[in-house]
Amino acid sequence: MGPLAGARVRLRRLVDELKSGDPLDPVTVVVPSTYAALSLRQETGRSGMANVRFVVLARLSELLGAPTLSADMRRPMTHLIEASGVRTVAAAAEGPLASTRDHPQTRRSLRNTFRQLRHASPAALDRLSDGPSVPAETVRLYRRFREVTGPYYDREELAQSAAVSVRALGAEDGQTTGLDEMGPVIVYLVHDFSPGERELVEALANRSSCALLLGLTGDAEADRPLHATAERFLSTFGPPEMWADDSRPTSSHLVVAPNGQQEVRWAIRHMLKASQDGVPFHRMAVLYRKTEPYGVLIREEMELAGLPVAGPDTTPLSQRAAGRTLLGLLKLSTGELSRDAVMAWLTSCPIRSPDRTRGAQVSPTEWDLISRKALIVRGREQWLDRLDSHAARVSKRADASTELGDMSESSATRLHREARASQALKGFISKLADDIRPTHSGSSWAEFSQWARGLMEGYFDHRAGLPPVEADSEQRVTEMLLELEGADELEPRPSLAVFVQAIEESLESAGGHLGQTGRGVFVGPLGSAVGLEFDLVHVAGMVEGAVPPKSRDDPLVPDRDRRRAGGQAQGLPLQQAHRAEERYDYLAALATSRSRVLSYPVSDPIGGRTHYPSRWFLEEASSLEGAPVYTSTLDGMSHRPWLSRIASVEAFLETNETGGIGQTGAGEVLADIHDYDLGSIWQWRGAGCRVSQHPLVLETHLAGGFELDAGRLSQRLTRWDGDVSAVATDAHRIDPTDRTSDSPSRLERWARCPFSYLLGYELKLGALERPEDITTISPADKGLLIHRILELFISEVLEQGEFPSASQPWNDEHRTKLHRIAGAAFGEAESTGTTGKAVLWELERREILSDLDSFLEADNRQRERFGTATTFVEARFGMPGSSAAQSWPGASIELPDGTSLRFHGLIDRVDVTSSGRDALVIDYKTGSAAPYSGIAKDQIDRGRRLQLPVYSLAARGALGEEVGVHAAYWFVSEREGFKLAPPEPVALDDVLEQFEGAVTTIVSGIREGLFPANPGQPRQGSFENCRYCDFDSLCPAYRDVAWRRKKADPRLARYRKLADPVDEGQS
Amino acid sequence: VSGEFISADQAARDRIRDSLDETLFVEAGAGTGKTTSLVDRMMGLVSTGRATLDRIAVITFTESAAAELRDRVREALEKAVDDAGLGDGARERCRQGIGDIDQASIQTLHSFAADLLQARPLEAGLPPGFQVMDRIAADLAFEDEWKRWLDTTLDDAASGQSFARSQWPSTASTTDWTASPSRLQRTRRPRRWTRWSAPHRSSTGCVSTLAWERTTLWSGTSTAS
Repeated sequence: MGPLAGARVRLRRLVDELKSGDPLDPVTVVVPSTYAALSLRQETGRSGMANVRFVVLARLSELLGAPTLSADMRRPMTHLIEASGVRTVAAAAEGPLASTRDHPQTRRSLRNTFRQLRHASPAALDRLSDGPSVPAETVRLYRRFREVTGPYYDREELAQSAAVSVRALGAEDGQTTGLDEMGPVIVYLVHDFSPGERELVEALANRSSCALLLGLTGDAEADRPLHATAERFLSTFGPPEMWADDSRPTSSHLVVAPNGQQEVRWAIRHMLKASQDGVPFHRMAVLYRKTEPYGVLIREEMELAGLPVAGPDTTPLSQRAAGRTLLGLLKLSTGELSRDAVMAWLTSCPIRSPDRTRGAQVSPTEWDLISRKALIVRGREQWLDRLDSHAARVSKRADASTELGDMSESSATRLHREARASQALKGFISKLADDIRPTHSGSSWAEFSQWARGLMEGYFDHRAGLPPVEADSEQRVTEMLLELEGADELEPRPSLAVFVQAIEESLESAGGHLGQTGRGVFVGPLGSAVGLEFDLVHVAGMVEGAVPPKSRDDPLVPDRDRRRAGGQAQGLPLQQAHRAEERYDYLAALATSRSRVLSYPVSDPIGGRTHYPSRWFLEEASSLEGAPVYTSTLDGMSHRPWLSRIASVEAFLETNETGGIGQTGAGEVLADIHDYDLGSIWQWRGAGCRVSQHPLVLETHLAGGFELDAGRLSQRLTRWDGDVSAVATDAHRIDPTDRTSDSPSRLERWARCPFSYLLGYELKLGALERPEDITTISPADKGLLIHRILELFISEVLEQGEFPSASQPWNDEHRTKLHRIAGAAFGEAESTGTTGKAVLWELERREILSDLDSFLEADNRQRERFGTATTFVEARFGMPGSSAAQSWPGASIELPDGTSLRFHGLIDRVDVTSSGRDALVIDYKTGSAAPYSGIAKDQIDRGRRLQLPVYSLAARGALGEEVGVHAAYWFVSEREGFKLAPPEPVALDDVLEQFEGAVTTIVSGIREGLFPANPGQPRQGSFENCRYCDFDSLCPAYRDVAWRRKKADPRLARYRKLADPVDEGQS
Repeated sequence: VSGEFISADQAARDRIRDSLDETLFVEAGAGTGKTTSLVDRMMGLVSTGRATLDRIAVITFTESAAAELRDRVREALEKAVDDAGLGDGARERCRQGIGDIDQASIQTLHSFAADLLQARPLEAGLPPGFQVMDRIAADLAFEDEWKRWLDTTLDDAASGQSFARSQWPSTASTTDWTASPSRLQRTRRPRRWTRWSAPHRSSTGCVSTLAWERTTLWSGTSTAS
């Protein structure tokens, strides 16, 4: 028997009395909420009572008042109509409100204040009008709001109309179909009556049998409004029946949890324990005051534990699938079709293609990758152009590679598939761009609504297997859009922006219900539980500042102005009334059960805040202690039987006090399987066993975790940090000598950091930059651009026979030619999106042109110094499938085991002297020369600079063994002073032996499957090998420590000698 | 040793408690009883009817200090209600004070400032009922705004020039701003909003804790020399 049992017994007796001996006579019971109606209906059903109708006051008003209003062609004022009215009058705000009148929050505030002014007397409004400017302007807008919404009736008008109907019909003939069907009326535990609703109740009481039962909490502050209500009804009902919860709870318990999640999990464990003791779930409730975070947190944790939930759905429609889809579409329609917005919409909503033909499926992940590769940022034309170019580029690459035979069949198939997906995305975007453009902008709400419904019909995927609550959201969105069609009368010819605002504001409302009342644990805000009865109630989030919340004065019509205008007596609610309401809701929630638990979380980890207990929490603690309890003294009360304090998850596992209340160590109820697993492992450890040997660990991936941890801490390279020797078998060889040919840069990468090689070349991973983040051209793209310009320029000069002799400088015509070629190349680069933002690109463009001009001067000196007579540009060598005319023969070296390694590549430039006996291999560099400083001492820089020897080998192969080949990097920028590195070009014969040794080490390491991560030396807050590495964020922060540990592995001796010669020498 | 202990600064303590019409500056070391004196003075204000709790502002540096102070005031009020030595009027005023404790402005400077603005938003150019973003939401809004500004400025040569002038007024007025090609790239993202100005408006109706003001935003945050 709960605390309301007395009131319920009285209700049952009253119903029996009012049925006048005929159990089928109708009786209507007016209840505080729809949940109270459902609960009582189920209870009366079980008790065998028939023909008792339970309704809320608003529904009763509608039943009795709506027919008259409809006959007068009046329509109900929905939230959308109300919002439309507010928007209309807010747009005309003047004086102090003018500067913020377009802000959505101003409209929200006006709407709230208008609702509070609804019951104000005309005299009170007049007094406010004569007062300070802000309340006066607010009242002016309110009066205007009432005018524009005149054709619509609100809840108050409905109640007044119902009262008038009841009085009129009663006076005429005492007959009214509606009233007869209702029979006698009992108003049960309703505590909040508007003036119109009071009028209605009085009219009902004057006409026929009507009883009033008020529920008191026993608290003077909370009950003050109810006593006032009783006073007002005195002449009608005489002294009303007042039921007070004056009984003590049979069980009251307090919980202090480390955070909200642990708080809710404690409640779940407690409810499961109660369930084992025979309490059905529908007789339990978890209530809260703050929807954020408890609305979602409780529901999610209970779903995780498999507990059924029932109660109001507090999630706004904007966060449901259909709401998100519609908002996403509208955002796209008002934006620039940015890639970010399109992808956010595609990946967070159930979207289907409006093109229902086969092969038109939406593939968000693949489309995201493609749009990144195509460097799309925003704009319909950019989407279409760049997707087209990307598809063509990918197809061309696949075709060319297939022809040359340098790509596997599966890779070519993958590229062709990517090209098809690019075209599919292009088709989708093209249709989307057309669809999201409203064809009737500024016409009518009806047309906007039809357009939006068409968008939902086309793009919202009904078949996505959504849970019922999400599927219901689509229906609610459709109803909302249909309702908007009626807004033309208030706001004719809306703009798209106004339409979107209306949708945004409407979708912010929550609604609907979760689960089935009568089956699941009731979860809802404190106020939703009034009139319900449970065997166990848990009130969560009893935090200072939240329960009760600090009441805020209305800045539009503050309390001081309300008091001046007559205050409560003149229909102007004051802050004091809100405080009483909060107190009433809290005490009424406690009154729903004799077994209560109050809890609060000590911290909010996300917000990084510490919480303190609510005053009402301490009030309950004081009651249980029998002496005042304060925040400071609560800390020392951990061993009280009425208090549970969860210090941490570990502490809970250790004491396992869930069972609970007052029986430390007696509990065995766990919230879910995770509780069980953790508890089991904890006990195992407590018994002195190694956690890594626990059966749960051995049977799951946890074992891998322990192995990983131990492996990475060891001084051997393991499968957890780059040793793939176990899989580098004959069947899965990763031997460079097996390939048709290799590029020197691949081997350089292994020499620098073998782990980076493994990820980049063997696993083919790579970081794909977001095109939105490209503010300026990347160093790599800039290098490609300059290489391309120089190649085209010198090729053209050579073709035209204009290549100058060693002593002849480039002339003005050459300079003009170079600028023309650069201009065309710039245009191409701009169209691909690699050049970044316009302002920064302009700077880069000027810098490149300046460098090109200086290049001509530097090249004059270079050719004169070397005696260049002719040159080869972009000389290909070893290209698979190429003819001798297209490519020089590949370079190759013999390895000590008799195998050979072949190379292919492209040499920027090979200058040949007039005698033809000397050649200078040049590799242009456009970046910084600093990383190349090492080659002054070590020409192959620990295996990390292999290009020059390989290119030299290729040049010698093409030009003849008798030709003396030298090579150097040439830094073609003013910033680097057009210097050579090394300053004296390297003769091939001088480095050949060293080169072969390095290549042998590299090939052996790859063959053996050894890929340790080597960060190199610390440099500018990072490490030399990590600064431009795609996988920088994958490696641990202590990567240098890890490398020092791993390099002790004897299998890495040769690599160590290559990569860390100084270190080796010291050791 | 017998007799009641009287501290050397008892007179100063009494003055803090009793001299309620006087404005005082109290300076004392840690652990000397500043909070106790403050609670005593508040109790004096409430019990004598000089002020109600909801008309007193007590500003602290941290939330934990505010919570502790609220707790101690509540404790003092509850004890005063049961103190037969006080008159009926004083005890009733203390009883009222317990009910007002949730409305009392015992809070950090930031909370106090936010409450002031909530009470008078229009005077500060803010919409009524504005909400203060939490740190995460503010950071996200900042990132969005920063990207939007960067996109707009760097996509348009004219705004780029204006930006350059705001960055390097001494040089940009006399020389071609493009002559310093690497300067713009070296400009770093500012770390946070720097001052109040026009409210930052978002579709959700939130107002950023600190608003957008371009020229001030850049001052002191540029890395250009």
